[in-house]
Amino acid sequence: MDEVEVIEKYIILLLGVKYKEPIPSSIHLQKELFVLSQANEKVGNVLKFMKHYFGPYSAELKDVSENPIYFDDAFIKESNNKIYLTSKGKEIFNEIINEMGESEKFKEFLSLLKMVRELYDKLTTDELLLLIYITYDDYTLKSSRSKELLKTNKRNKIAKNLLRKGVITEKKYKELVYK
Amino acid sequence: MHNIISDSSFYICFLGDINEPDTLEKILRFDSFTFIIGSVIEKELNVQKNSNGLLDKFLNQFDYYEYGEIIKPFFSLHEIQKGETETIVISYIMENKKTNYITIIDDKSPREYVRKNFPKIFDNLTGTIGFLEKCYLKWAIFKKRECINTLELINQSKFRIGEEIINEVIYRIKG
Repeated sequence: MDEVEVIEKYIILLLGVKYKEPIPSSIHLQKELFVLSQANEKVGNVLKFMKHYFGPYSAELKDVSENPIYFDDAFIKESNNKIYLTSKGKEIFNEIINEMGESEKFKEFLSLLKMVRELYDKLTTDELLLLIYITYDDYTLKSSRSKELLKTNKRNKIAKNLLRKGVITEKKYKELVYK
Repeated sequence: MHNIISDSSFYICFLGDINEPDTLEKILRFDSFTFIIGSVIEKELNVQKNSNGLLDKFLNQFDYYEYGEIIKPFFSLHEIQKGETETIVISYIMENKKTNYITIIDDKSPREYVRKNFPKIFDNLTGTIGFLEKCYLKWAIFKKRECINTLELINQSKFRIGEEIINEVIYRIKG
């Protein structure tokens, strides 16, 4: 299977596991698939992420998500930057599930996708970027955005929000604030 | 049958803190349990000196994915190294597969995270002491005296748990 087709399928699967809700932004899409690439060598072999101002970034993922070739009506990016699965996309999602659904590894992969959506979708872009900058420093080119988010006051404010929302542990909070 | 997914502190409690590998073996051997670990915990346990092949023999390794990576940004470095993230992600998979499972995590911070983000996993969550109590009361893996001795050893060890929690459990076991 061509790599572009595989990437399109990853996007469809990521959207499909929570098909009623869009992925909040292209930045979320990039980071959610990056995290999956860290957990799964196969995804990592297809999607190559490089250092970027917004943390790990795949130019290929950007191209494929904006100009799909194999499944051209499966997902759309609205003007609000949110990425939605279309009804055609939902059909393709179901076809993939029918084809692969019995494989235990695939079931695990779907669970991982679902977990990623559940946790990362509820982060604002600033919260997401701060966590990514801190966790994957190696993938981050210094930029005015990263400098701004990493400033003590801003970082502490975001960290406090993350703790209040319950999405980070107390120890992570301390790490964010005292690092 | 229960799948048991635990962070490293449970195993280290027996292998290091109280130096009672035989007690651990008794639990691992129990017919109704399948113990599951990921690669982070495996690395952590490989440095334990007195495991005597126990871990290779009884632990089922989940190694197809680096499970802990999925929620790494939300946890401190220390929590990641202890295998807390891996334990939670594998538990999430078990929950989705609708299998019976028990998750063992002792530290307050990740337990609180589970309570807030994954209430279904929280329903299956216990700590090392709570699990030991069930090993006696529910599954009869130990005799009463054996279980109390183990709890007393833990109480005197560097395993981090409040004395009052252990005393409460001993009180319940004594009946």
